[in-house]
Amino acid sequence: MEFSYFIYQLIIGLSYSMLLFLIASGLTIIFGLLNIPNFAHGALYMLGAYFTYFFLHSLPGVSFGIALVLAVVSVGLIGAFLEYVPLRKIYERSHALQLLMTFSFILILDDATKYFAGTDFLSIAIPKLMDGSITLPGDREMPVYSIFIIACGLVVAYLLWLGLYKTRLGKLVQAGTANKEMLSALGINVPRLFTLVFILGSVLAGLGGGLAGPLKAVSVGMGETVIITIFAIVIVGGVGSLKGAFIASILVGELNTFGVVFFPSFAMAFTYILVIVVLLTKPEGLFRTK
Amino acid sequence: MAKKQITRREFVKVVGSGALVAGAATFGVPTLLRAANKPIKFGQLNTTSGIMASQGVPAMRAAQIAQDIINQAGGIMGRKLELVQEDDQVKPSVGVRKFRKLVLEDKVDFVFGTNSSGVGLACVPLANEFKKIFISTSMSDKYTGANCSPYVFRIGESTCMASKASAYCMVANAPTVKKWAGINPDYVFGRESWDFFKQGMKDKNHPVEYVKESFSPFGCQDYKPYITALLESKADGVFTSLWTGDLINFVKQAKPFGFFDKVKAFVNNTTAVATSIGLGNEMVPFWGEARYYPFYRDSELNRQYISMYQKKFGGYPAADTGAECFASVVALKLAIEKAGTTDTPKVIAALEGLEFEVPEGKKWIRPEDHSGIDEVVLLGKFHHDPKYPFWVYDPKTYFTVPGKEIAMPLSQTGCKMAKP
Repeated sequence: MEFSYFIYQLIIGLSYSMLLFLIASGLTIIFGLLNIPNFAHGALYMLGAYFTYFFLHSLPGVSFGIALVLAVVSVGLIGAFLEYVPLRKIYERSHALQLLMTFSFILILDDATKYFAGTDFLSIAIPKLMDGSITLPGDREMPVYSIFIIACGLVVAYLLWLGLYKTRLGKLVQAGTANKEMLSALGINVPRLFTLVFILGSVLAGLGGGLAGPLKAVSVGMGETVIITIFAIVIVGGVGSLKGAFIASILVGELNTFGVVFFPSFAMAFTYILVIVVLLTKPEGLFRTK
Repeated sequence: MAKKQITRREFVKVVGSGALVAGAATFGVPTLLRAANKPIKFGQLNTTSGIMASQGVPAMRAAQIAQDIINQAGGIMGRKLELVQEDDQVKPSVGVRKFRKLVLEDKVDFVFGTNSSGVGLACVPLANEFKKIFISTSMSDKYTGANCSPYVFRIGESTCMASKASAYCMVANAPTVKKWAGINPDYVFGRESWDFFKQGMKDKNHPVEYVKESFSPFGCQDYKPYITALLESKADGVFTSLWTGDLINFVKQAKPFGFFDKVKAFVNNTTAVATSIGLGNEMVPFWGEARYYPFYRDSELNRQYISMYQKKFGGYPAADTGAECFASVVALKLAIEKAGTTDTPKVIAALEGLEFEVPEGKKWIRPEDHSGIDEVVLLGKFHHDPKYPFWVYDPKTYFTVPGKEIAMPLSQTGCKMAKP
């Protein structure tokens, strides 16, 4: 295989990886600090896409960027409600119960979406500025929107890194992920910290959904199709580890891309072989800090 | 005190005689007379949740329109038609459970539906076990193949018909395209579609070269590697049996690569109109085949179907499976009337060879293998026409194939029909 084709597929894979990272980063932060496996993360991702569509088509003269911001804020508010009202009552309960509750959120949010938006597929156009592609050597096209997704992923990764390692709040999140009792012993307002982190995670899910909008059929259930891959990434990277989610997203995205290109009939298996190998050799994930 | 006792006695008497009357109504009157007032129940299985809800919800609605039309005209032999609709969640295990529920709890007389052959084929053993007629609205040729059953029918176009029609259309409309590739969903429908497409090319003795074949998982999230691999193969023509959500995702992700400029012919064998609606202005000019296309046939029934659907639900009844559900209800109604009873073996006999009209045209049920065959199968190339709310076929490109020409020949089905 030509080297240029290899590089080309690497970039194609990276654009998938970065979309996965946007969604996985939110889930891993929530899972790490709040210690709940939030299955509803996929539903929040779906809402990000629906809200983007809604704002883009119902407010006159709104650009994709503004619609996306409004959508992200809306999903953040829904996340705040979910954490503040039902979720915080069950932090001390078993994972099975938490899973059941977050799974109920999916069904409720899916049905609510069906009620308000119907079951027809909705389509968000790629913003005019980013429509089209640039031609790479070998007459290969690279869509501008895919490059934009890569840029978004890298920027969000950088901002999250800054926030997590360079701010007081971020240090508290890190400390809480490692040892929750210590935080409350030190007089930190833990419930408020939990709410903030859940909102942040929801915002990231919404951002992922809004950015995925132009690449997907916006539909009820789109969250369920992505959530398993996202959980695989969080497990491989190590629950609560941002760096882990970043590396694991790249691994999963590239494995999928190169799998399809070179071993199409096994493409699906690679991600899960990776999960099994990590679970057997490093059960705590690649980068878990505990 | 005494007064009270009398009242109680009278009360008991009244209730007692009431029970007697009710008892007489239940046991005394011949069963036949009671049955005359009971509605005839049709059980329906389609997918109304998850990513395939966009196909299943309209399927339920289309059946409701058929129910309305029939009941407004006096029902079936004077009895009301009652639909019992269940969500199969596009999962075989759920479909099987709901099939049992329909038969055992709801006591339906007949069952029809399914959006995916994966679900429908899983229900076939139950139809045999319960000796209930099951009319499939999904497309596999396996319903009518070596494992065909007297209880099982496939009402509409099969994978074979849809894929061969696509090939015939390309031979006629894109004869210079010789390098073909395929992108199909990785399960029975996608694999069969690709094989039948190639078979169709062979039928026409059209010399083509297959430069790439790819199968993507159902519900695939990222089509970019498939798209780049297809482009790298330098195929001039691409055949796909991706459907609804998957096809929309594929088109949306392929468009920025200039895919539809580089590939000279792109043809899809299913759910084309639903895809066009889902894509809106993002639609691209590809060749599509749909089991139901609202704007082709000018008939009283088609006009009534569209207008009733629009009035009740809004929008066009464009989902493929919807038309097949409508057809299933109509076929059962006609067969029951022809048989003069809901008795299963007699209704089976009445369904065999039945010719009837549905919104998309005339249908015939081939008696030997229970395969529903449309008079014509239609393809067209999508274009933008401001008269319609979504891209429609350019009427100049209408391409029709008689259903009998592309149905799997009886000699190849492997079906040996048993007696019910």
